[in-house]
Amino acid sequence: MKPWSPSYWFLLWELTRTEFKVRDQGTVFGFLWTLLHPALMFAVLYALFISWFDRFVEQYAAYLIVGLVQWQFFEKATSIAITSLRRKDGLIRNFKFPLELIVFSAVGSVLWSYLLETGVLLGFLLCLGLKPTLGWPLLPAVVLAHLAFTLGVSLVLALAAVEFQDLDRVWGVLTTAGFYLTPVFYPLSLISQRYGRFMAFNPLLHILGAFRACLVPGQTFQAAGLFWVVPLSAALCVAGVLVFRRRSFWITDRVFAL
Amino acid sequence: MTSPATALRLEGVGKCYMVSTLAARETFPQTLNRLLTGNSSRRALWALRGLSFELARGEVLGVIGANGAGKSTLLMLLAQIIAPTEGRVEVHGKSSIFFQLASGLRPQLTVLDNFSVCAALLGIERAKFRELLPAMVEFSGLGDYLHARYGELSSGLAARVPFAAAVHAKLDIVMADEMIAVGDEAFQQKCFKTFEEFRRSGKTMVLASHGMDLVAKLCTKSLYLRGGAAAYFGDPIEAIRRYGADSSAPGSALARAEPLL
Repeated sequence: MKPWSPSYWFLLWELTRTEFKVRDQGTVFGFLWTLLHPALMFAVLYALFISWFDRFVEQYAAYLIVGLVQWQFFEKATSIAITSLRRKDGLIRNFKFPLELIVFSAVGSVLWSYLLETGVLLGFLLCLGLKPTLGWPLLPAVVLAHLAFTLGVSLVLALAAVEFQDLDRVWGVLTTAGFYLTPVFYPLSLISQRYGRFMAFNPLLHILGAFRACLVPGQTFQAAGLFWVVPLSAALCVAGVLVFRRRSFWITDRVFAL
Repeated sequence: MTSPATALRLEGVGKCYMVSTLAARETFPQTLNRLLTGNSSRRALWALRGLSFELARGEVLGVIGANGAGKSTLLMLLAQIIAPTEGRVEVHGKSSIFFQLASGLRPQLTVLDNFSVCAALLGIERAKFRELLPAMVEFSGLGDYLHARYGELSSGLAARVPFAAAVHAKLDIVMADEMIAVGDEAFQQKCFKTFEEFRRSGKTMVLASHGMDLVAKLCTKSLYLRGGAAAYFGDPIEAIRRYGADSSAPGSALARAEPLL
């Protein structure tokens, strides 16, 4: 099955669709959780930090919600992707198909709800009284960069997790740490220059920065960071897919041994 | 050299699995140790070893043998889901396995959803799937259950979904692993008829089965596997005779488990 064949895309679509459909099944609010979860997180963080950060950030509500939606896409997609090969061992045992599609569909199922959240987010920003700016049309490009980074990390994590089973637990801790080490709910200006320099190595800092530059007034764009984040993301994606293609038998053997 | 009439060819094929010797899962320090030093608490288990045979197009091979003899491993090798640890596997044509249990499908979703996933996994395109769906549903006899949850079906009914999809997938080489054992009499008849049609239309088939009737009636060749090696390859009746003789021999696993009549 070649990536340019229609059957490859039909399979990607089917795997993504079913993964998405299964996710919220059994919960009372079902699909609404997609929107409810970020909304509740936003409410909690906003209530906690508004009085503190309001002085440093113009439009703190917009700053927070934009950061939160982007961060959550990365966190959800990677944590679902990391166990995806193990969870799909039944499929791997029974059918011959390109294994990278398992990771693609895991990320794709989160992308689906993320795009919806982003749509609702834009509506929310309008409700806050923000006017659409010249940054809005740039949004698809930033979403694409974010997707590339998340997909690249997911491919690498999924591969590593078939060798190191403990990785998904470790990743849970790392993403929690990452939430605090990335300016999701606090402004970067609050960090001293000494630590700020280290934080610049965090790719998500630049991706969040780009989103905020597009959407939140008063946020300036630091394009320099994206100059290494975008090629890095592309490299991770290409390397990940190549490993999946060339080492698919190794992956199957490892998944069977789990 | 392989002639164009060859569908499958195996040369000295072996497949080795690393089997746990400890009750617990491998821990992080053990993984590190294995990667760094090559030492492992697992031991090698050769599911198949030194297997060589060739199957011409249009032949039907029945694979028989006790549980653990390597039948499923052989089928997975032929479907190119796994690679041999040693030796060579050549497969000429599009193939896929029909497994006994519809593992991998989604019990939480509807039967219809699972039909489309299954078709996609078999490499069928969307337009083609739409065209084939009525025939698949008709074949499976699940027309009334299309919107039922897949997990609510009995295992016999559930197994019909991947089977019906695979029957319509235009495979050159058809492989079935105990597929029809779970079906009821009527469905077994239908499967049997389908296999006969496949045979008449010149498809190559590999059937792993405990149903000696099926092997005797349908197969042109039979491979009797014992402990991961070929104990016999050739005439189906002779293969069944040898398998039967081994199974009822004093001290054999089968004889110990249930005395034959």
